Amino acid sequence: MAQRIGMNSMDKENNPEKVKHDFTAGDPEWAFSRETVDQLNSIMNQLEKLEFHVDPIVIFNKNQKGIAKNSLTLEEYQDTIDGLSVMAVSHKPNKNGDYYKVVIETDANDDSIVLLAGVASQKRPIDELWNKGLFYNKKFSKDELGKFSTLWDRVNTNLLKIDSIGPIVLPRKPHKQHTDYQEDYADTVEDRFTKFIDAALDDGVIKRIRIQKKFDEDSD
Amino acid sequence: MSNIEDVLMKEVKEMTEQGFRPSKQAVDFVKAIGPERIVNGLTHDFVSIKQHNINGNKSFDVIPTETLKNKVMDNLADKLESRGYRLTASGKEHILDYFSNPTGFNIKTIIGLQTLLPNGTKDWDEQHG
Repeated sequence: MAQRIGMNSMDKENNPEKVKHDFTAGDPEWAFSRETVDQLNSIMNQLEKLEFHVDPIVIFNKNQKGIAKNSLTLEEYQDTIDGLSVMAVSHKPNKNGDYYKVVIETDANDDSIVLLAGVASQKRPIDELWNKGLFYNKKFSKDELGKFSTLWDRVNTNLLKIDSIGPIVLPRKPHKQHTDYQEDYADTVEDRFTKFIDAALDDGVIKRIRIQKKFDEDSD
Repeated sequence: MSNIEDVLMKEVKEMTEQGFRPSKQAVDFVKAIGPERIVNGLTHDFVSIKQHNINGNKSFDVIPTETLKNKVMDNLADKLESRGYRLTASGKEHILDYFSNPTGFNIKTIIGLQTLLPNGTKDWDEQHG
C-alpha cells in the first residue's frame, strides 16, 4: 500500500527528518493544496486497484534541499516545495519485459499538472520505443482540471486495463529501401492488434463497450 | 509461372483480345499486391474483374468483393467485441471506404488489417506449384 499524500508523510522520500508541518495547512499553493492532494490520492487508489506500485513524493525546490525543514515556519516550508509527484508502474512486466508507467506531477511555479502515461521496458532501450514509450503526454493549467480528469479516465480505461502491453517499436520487417532497422523485435499478432486498438481509439474509429456477462438462468 | 497464373493470364488475354484494357486502377492494384495474390484473391472470391464498355471504350477494373468485405468486417467486429470494443459509425464508414475506393494502397491496407484477424492472410498467400 502506498503512502497517502498529505500531512508530512512523503517528506521522508527526500528528507529523513520527521517534518512537523502539514504542507496543506494555512494558505498553500494550488499545486499542493488539500483539493489537489485529494485528487492525487483518488488516482493513487485507482492505480493500486490495478495492482500498480505507486510512489508519491514531494518535489522540493533544488536550492532549498538540505535545509532543516523543522527550523522553518510553515510558510517558509511551503516555499521550499515545487509540487507533488506520483509515479506508478505495473507490477507484472510481460514476457518482453514491457510494463506500464504513469507519472503525474503538479508544479507550483506555473500552477500546472502534467500527465505522462505509456510503456517502459526492462529489455528495450527507451530510444527504441516510439516517442520514448509515451502514449500520453499532456500538461494542463489548474483551470483545465476537467480536461485533465477526462484524459486520466481515458488512460485508466483505455490503456492501463488492457492486459496485453504493446509498446510501439520500429517496424519488424524493414522496407527494402531502408537498411537501418533492427530486426529482432519480438512482436505478435496480438501485440499489433493492441497497437491497432490504441490508434483506432485515438482516431475515433472504435469505442470501448461494456462486455455483457452471460445471464445465469439458475441464479436467483 | 504457376498453372493458376497461366489460367489468369489466359483470361486476361481473352479479355484483351476482345478489346478490354486494364484500367489504371487495375494496373496499380496488381502492382501493389502482386499477381500471385491477385490469382489467390480471384480463386477465393476476394477480388473480381469488372468490365466497362463506355461508348466502345473497353476497360476492366480489379475490385474487392462482398465476400472479402463481409469476411473482414465480420472478423474485425468479432475480434474487437472479444476485447471489449466496437467500431464507431464513422469508423465503420472509414474502413468501408477502403472497399468502395479500391486503390492499390487501400487494398494493401485491407490485407494489412486481415493479418491481425483470425486466419490472417493465409488465403491470399497460398503457394502454388
